[in-house]
Amino acid sequence: MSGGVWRSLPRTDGIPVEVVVDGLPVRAYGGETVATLLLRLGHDHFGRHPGTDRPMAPWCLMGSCFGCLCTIDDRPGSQACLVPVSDGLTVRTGASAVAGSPDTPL
Amino acid sequence: MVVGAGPAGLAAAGALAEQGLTVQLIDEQPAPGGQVWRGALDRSGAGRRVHPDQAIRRAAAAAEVLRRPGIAYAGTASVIDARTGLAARSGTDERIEIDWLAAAGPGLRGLRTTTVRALIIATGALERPVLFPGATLPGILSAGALQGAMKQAGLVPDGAGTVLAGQGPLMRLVLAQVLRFGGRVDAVLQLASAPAGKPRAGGLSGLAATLASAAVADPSLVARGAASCMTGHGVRTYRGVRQLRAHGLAAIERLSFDTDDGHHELPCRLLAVHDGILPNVQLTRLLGLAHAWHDDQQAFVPVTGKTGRAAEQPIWVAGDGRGIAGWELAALHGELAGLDAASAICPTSTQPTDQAADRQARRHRLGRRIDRRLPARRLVDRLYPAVPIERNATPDTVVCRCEHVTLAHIDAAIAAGAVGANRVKTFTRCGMGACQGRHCGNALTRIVADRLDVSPTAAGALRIRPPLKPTLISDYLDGACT
Repeated sequence: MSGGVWRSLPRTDGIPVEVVVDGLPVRAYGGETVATLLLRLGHDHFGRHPGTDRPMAPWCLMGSCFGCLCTIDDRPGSQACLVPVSDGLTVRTGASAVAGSPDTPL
Repeated sequence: MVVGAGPAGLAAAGALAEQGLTVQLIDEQPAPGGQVWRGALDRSGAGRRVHPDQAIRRAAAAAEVLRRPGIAYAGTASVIDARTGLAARSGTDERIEIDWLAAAGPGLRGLRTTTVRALIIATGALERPVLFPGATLPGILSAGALQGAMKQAGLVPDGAGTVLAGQGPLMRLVLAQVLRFGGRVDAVLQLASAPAGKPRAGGLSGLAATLASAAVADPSLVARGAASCMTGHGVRTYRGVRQLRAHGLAAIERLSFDTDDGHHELPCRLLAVHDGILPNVQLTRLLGLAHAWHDDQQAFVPVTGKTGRAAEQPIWVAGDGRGIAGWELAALHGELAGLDAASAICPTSTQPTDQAADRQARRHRLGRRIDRRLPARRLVDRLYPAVPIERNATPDTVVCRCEHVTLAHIDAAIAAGAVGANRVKTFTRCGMGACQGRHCGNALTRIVADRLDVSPTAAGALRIRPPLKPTLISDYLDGACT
């Protein structure tokens, strides 16, 4: 199977903002959070588990599962699902953001 | 302070402000409305159209209170810690200190401490995870997450291999919404035994009695529920699903499961799972309030009086965080809690008699409206008991996602003498990760109770400690926190 998993409903209004994701500028729209922006762009996971190195993906999109952690505006461990997009926001994915796993060296 | 700006929190803040009190209302989402009205008030969001006009009107009416003088609202703000039992410097009133972190907003960055005379907790619900092998693969999320992405950002699942697996009213609603907005669902997997779960306490006659009282309490809710059960929207539906497994290397690629008809395999790239919702008790646990096991909801709920007040404390709990009851009851509970808190802070002796009498009458009316509607909620609890963990989980199934603790790890800890949820936590780190047991806590209690053959109360719940959310040391250094 190929093709995207998500499709956006048409937008009637709203001026796009520019968010920088892993160094590349992308357009984002009102109502989007960093997490829904990344899903729309095709990221199915945003980081890796620090202990097992498995991909970590958002599960709840409402602030409780911590599967969507990214570095947002240089702040590590940010919950992407709770941060609304804004002009100039910088997002870095791929970080091992959850410290303190049993397998992580101290 | 009111924590949570959903139906309960908005109603509570409104009631407090109307009684002349100043209120700090904080909420984690970028916009008010809670999960039920998520995206409904955001005019620029592509997801607003997913809400029926009626819901947008209700949300707007509820959020009107934010215009009242006396209410300060902060979005994208989280409680990090709360401390009770502090006497005010100039008196003997009991005060509560709350440390909270606002991620955005002018002048709001950094950790701050607010001292309040009353705290209303309206933190709503969490979804109950479904435990099965492969559940942590990317491409698997909760049905509530799928709905949230639709309502907030206008993201609709549209690819080949979209599957819903679970049970309960929210899953049916999500299915209808995805299809109405042109999305795609290839299959629905009913995780409860057909057609609507096995009734527990009271058996079939008990269920019939519950149905009868629910139909009297809220006929429109029961009618809508029955109508949604009648249609599968033409989507292939598998009933009595068990042994659910997700397969894939870097993300979900395939599902397998058993039904009475045999073994099935389906290609899958997006799987939304649902097993009902649980009260979010992180803050009530942190504060050390008493909790009791709610057998129908298979979850701990805070112990409160009729108005939602926790015994002996200036703390009220309103909405789904007090026991799942839905948004309409949440709004009524919120108003009741707000009025009661106002009475407690400004005793009637200092108020004109007619105002106090009016408040008393309103509280009485609200209590009666709540009592009338409750039987309808009990029907939902009875129809959709939690999916038994052993129906899908295997020894290598992950229970705690943050620390990657499996069912086998938990069983080994119990075999080694861990006699409660917190002992298992010490042995395995289950519940010790970033989410602080929000994801695994309910399952851990149920697993320990099952293995030791004790009550969930005896098995216990994860102890919740500050910080409620992972916090940077720099937040403490930069903020105005005590």
